[in-house]
Parts: sequence; C-alpha cells; structure tokens
Amino acid sequence: MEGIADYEFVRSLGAGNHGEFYLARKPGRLPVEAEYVAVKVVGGTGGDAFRRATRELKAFAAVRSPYLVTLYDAGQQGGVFYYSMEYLPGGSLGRPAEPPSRERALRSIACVATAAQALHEEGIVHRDIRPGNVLLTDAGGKLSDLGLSQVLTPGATVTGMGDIGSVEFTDPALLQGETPTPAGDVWSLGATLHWAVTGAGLYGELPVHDPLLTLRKVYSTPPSVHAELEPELSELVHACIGDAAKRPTAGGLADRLYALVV
Amino acid sequence: MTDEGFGVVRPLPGNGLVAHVGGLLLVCDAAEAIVEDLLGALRETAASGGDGRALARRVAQVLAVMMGEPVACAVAGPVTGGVAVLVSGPAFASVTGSGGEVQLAGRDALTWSDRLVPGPVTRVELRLPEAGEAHPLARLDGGVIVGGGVWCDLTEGGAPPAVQRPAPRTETAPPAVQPSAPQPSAPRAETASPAEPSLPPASARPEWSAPPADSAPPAPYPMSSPEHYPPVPVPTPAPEPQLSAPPAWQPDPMPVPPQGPPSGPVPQEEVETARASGIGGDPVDVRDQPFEYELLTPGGPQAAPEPPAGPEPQPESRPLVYGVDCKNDHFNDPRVPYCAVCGIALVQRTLVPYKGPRPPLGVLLLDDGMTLRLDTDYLVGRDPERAPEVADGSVRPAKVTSPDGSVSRRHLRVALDGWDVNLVDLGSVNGTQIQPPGDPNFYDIPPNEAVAILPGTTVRIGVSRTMRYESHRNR
Repeated sequence: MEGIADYEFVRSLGAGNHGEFYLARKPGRLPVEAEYVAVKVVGGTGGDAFRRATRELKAFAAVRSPYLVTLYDAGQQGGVFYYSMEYLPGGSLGRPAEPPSRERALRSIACVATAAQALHEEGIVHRDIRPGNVLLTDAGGKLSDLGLSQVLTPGATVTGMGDIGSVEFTDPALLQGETPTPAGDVWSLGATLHWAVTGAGLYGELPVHDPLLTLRKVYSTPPSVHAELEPELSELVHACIGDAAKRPTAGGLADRLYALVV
Repeated sequence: MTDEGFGVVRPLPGNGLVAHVGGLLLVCDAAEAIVEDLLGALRETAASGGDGRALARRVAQVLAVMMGEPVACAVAGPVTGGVAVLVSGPAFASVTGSGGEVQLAGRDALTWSDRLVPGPVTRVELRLPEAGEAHPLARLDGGVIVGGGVWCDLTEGGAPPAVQRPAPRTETAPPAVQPSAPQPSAPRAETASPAEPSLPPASARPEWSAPPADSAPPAPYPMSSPEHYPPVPVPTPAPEPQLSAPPAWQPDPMPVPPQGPPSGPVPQEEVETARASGIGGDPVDVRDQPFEYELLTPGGPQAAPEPPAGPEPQPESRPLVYGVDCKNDHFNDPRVPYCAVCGIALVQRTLVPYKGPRPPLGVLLLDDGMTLRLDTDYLVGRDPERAPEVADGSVRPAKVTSPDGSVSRRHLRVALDGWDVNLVDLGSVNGTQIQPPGDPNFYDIPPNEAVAILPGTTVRIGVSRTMRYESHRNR
C-alpha cells in the first residue's frame, strides 16, 4: 500500500490489532508541526462502523493527558478506514527501536497507567493495553491506539485481524464476554508490566500460530505470575490481575510504579 | 407423586431394566454402572418430589458424562400440562397427547432427544429395541424389574386422563423456564427463510399447554429435528463454485461519496470483500477514490464543535430472562446445577426463578481468533452488514470470509433464546455443520431451522471456516 487519502506512506510500521500502521508524510492540510505521522489503516468497514469509530476516536482525542498519543484525523477512502496520530520514533515496548532499560520500561508503564486513569475519568475504557501500545518517549511513554475492535466489529472481544498475542494481555473476563471496564484495563496493565519485567506472558508460551489453540489455552489456564519476579512487583501484578473489585485503579498503579523508579 | 402418574403401567418383556418409581418411568439397557446412575437419578427425583422435567434434567446429566457412547435409555414423567420424555441411544418413545402421537428416537439425536408433550396425554410407550408386546394383565405399579419397555394407558384404571401436578408453590415461576424444559424455537415458518430474515427468535414462544396446533413441533433441547441428523459423518461438500454466485438476497448499493475522477473506481463491495478476505494483501488501490476525513486534533479549524462523547452508551439493554440467583447473587440459568460464576451448588427446588437481565452466554471463537460476545444475535456471513435485520440493529453482523468462497453472504444466524444458543443456517450454499462436544463427527444442520448447541460445539461454516461456542455456562 502506497498511501491513503492524501497520506504518502514511507514504510510499514507493522501490524496492530485490527489494522496496519504506516509511517507517512504529513499532508499540508494537517495543522500540526511534524514531518511524519503514523497512519493506521483498518480493513474495509461499513459506513456505520466508520462513524462509530470516528466518534470513539474523537472522545479519545478529547481527553487531556500528556501520556496519550495525539490523534490527528480519521477518515475513509473507498470504504477503507484510517486514522492518523503522532509518530514516535522510539517504537513501543513490544517493538522498541532499542531495548529499554528496566527503569525506562517501568516508567513507560507508569505513564501509560496515568493515561489510562485519564481515560477512565472520562468514562472511556481503552480495551487494548499491551506492550505494542505502550509507545516509548524520552519522558517515559504514551498510550496508543484505543481498542476499536468492538467498534469496528460490534460484539467482538478479540478480533481476528492482526496479533492474536494480544489475548494474553486481555482480562479473561472480557474474553469470556463480560463488558469492558476500567478494571479490565488495569488487568492489562498488570500483564504488560509482568511481560516488560520478566519477558514472559502470564500464560507462558502460547501457540500463537494457531489462534484457536491460543484462545483455548488462555481460557483453560489460570494466569500465573513468574516466580522470580521481585516481591514488590509480584505483589503489584497479583493485585492487578486479582479480584476485579479489589484491583488498584490505573492511577494507583501509576503512583506505585513511580515510587519504584524514582 | 404416587397417587398420580401414568395410569396402568404395563411392562414389556425384554432384557433391559424397567423402573416405575414415584410416578416416574425409566427404561434402560446399559453397563451396570450407568444403569445404577440412571436408577439413582430416578430415585433422587422421585424422593425430592421432582416432576418429569427434573427427571429429564438429572438423566441428561448422567448421559452427558457418557457423551459419545450411546446409552439405551428412555424416561418419562408428568409435568404441569403434559408429559416430559427423554430418549437416548437405540431407545424409542411414543407419547399421545393433545396434538396426536409424538415419536422420539434416541438414535436420531446427537446426544439425546427430549420433548415436552402437551396434555392431556392418553398413552405413553417407552421401548428398548428388543422389547416384546405387553401381556394384557401384567402391571408394574411400582418398582424395578427386568423388561424391555413400558406401555401406559392413562385413560385406563381410573387415572386422570390429564396429568395434573399440584400447583407450583409459587405462581411466579412460568412454565417456559422450568429447568430442562425443551426450548421451543421460533416457529419454523418464521425461522429465517432467506427472503424473510428478520425474526425475533424469542418473540414467539409457545406455551406448553397451548401449542400452535399446526406449527412444526418445537425443537427439543438440546438438539432438534432428529430426522435431519444423519448418524454418520457427512462428506465435506464441494465449495461454492464461484464467488459471484448470485445471492438470494441482493444488497442495496452502498451510499458512495460523491464521485471524483471517474477513472474506474473499484466496486466498494469487492474492495471490502477482498480486503476482509485477506486475498493478496492489499491489492486494491483505493487512492483514485474520493476520501473524507474529520480532524481529531484540537488545533484544527473545526475544533471540537460538539461536546466530547461520553462512554459509548450500551447499544441495547440486555433482554430479560428467567433465572435464579446463587447464594452470592450471581444470576444463573435455572437448569444448571452449579453457579456459572462462583461454582457454588444451586439448590434448584428452593430457588424461585425471576426475570432479570441476561448475562452474556459466552463467546464464539472463530478460527482466526476473532471472539464474539454472545450477548445478542449475530448474522454470520461474508456480507452481513447490509442485511435488513443488521441495518435495523436487531442483529450484529459477523463478517466471516474464506478464500474458497464457501461462506455465503448471509450464511448463518446465531440466535440467543433464553439461556440457549441456537444456530439457524440461512439456506447457505455450502451449509453449516456442527461437531458436538466429545463427538469426532460433524453433522449437517438443516436449513432454516433453529438448532441448539452446547458449549464446546465446533461449527463449520461452509467448507473451510470454523468457530467454537465457548462458555462457562450451561455446562
């Protein structure tokens, strides 16, 4: 794909849940100071899905937080939906430009938890927090890419396109069909934290080549925290993935993480 | 229970076991351990004053453990307004009620067949394959004997022709939600002929006591219409010959934004289909088409004219169904023995079903990892978006495509009915097959008929796509 709308693509940045990211030159009409932007192209959608997705993105864009990625525009061409956002060359926790130090990783998750708190206070649930959506910045990190799967495919808790690996960062209650909640985002933050520090998921190795097997394993295996995780972090991860009613808020998690890295 | 029931019960000669306990009937022939379990189910039900539904439920639990191994078994028991009957394996049942004779054969079902036959019931017959004819003077007023079946004439011997149960302890429990009641599907005629697709599946639920006289028989839970299930695996059908096979339903053209340069725009539908199918990555160039966009950044000329949208409102409120609360106030299917959330035992008899919002019934897992929450109906197909029932919001679209084109535009409806998940094949070209849990074989489902599926069922859509119904409920 060479571009969409008036965006000229430079190169692909990789697939995300439900679409693919591209690095693109900023068209002149965009009132932002940047040479490059990131554009996410989502497969064909109906007009309704386009309008729903745009509404969700507008709500996301209206939340003020220095740790939320800045969205630029959303549009469609020939039934193909896209939206654009600031381009952060540091990559993500999942695919960093250079491997982050442990402290940098913890700080980025603290920032993203702060961003999640800001979303939650506006009544928005992100639904797709995972290492690939924790973008690395000099100041720490930014939360990217609201989970639009439910909007683009109503009723979907996981979408088939893209990365099945994201199910290991999804609250099992959500996979089982429960409604997304802020506590579900906190679960995802805990799983992301666990992955960032131990390099392992909460379900161990997943047969990611086979989505059905992966999902069955996630369904049948209770998540378990790595035994060698140091006590403070282990306790924090346990709290995040424990009983939904007793989980910390995203903001509470951020505070505890900041305390660890300062 | 003992002062009512089946009138004169005459045992049929044979080599199985026949039991008449507490007004409930059991005929079975199987390994001793299973027979013991089945007799236990019968005795427990009788001891607790349970009716035919309670019996069928308990027996179904015994059979569920044996899933995949045909157990020759038939049970019957009175319920308010009729008789509940369940058969499995080579056993056979025939019940004559108000609507004529109803025959059930266990071997035609994937798991077992059950049915609630509306009264007044005049005759009940349960048979094992080798059963002989009843001696006209033989009687089994109660107990367990060797035999091949039972034959009951309810008009004989002073028994009331209509089986009357004592009034339920509460009037709030409606018959429709009694545990293990066969779930009637919507009447067949309404069930999604491709031309008339928008059906509210739960809207036309006949009362047991007053079934529509000339509608098709209600589909028994868990499986319907035995005659449509071949007991042997069906061969894989040939793929749909071409992608462009004329659909029964012609979608309206998509509203297209004002045309820009007329240099050969790619038809919208092909773009969508190709992209969604993943055929050839991104072969379709849409860049010569007009585009529309909306700025999201606050610096733009149209800076936030409308207030920020709050959380997405729940698109539809959850439908109300009858259920029971466990001790921890989790709302449950009244038919299940354990709470689906906390696993605590539900003591059925002491719980009064009430109407509450239905929790999600689980999820559909597609083979590409897509997971759909079962909180409403879905229309599955390669082009479901513009079907009328999707457009009016009553059904969610679930777009499923396959490179071989074997998924029809509108292939299958997943219809939730009470606590059950039903499939309705919408007359698709390549059909829909199901593989019940524990069964190695796939079975065709009949078109335009609701078929209830159990958690763990794998569903093949067309030739190459599959999905599974996963749930911690209804186990």
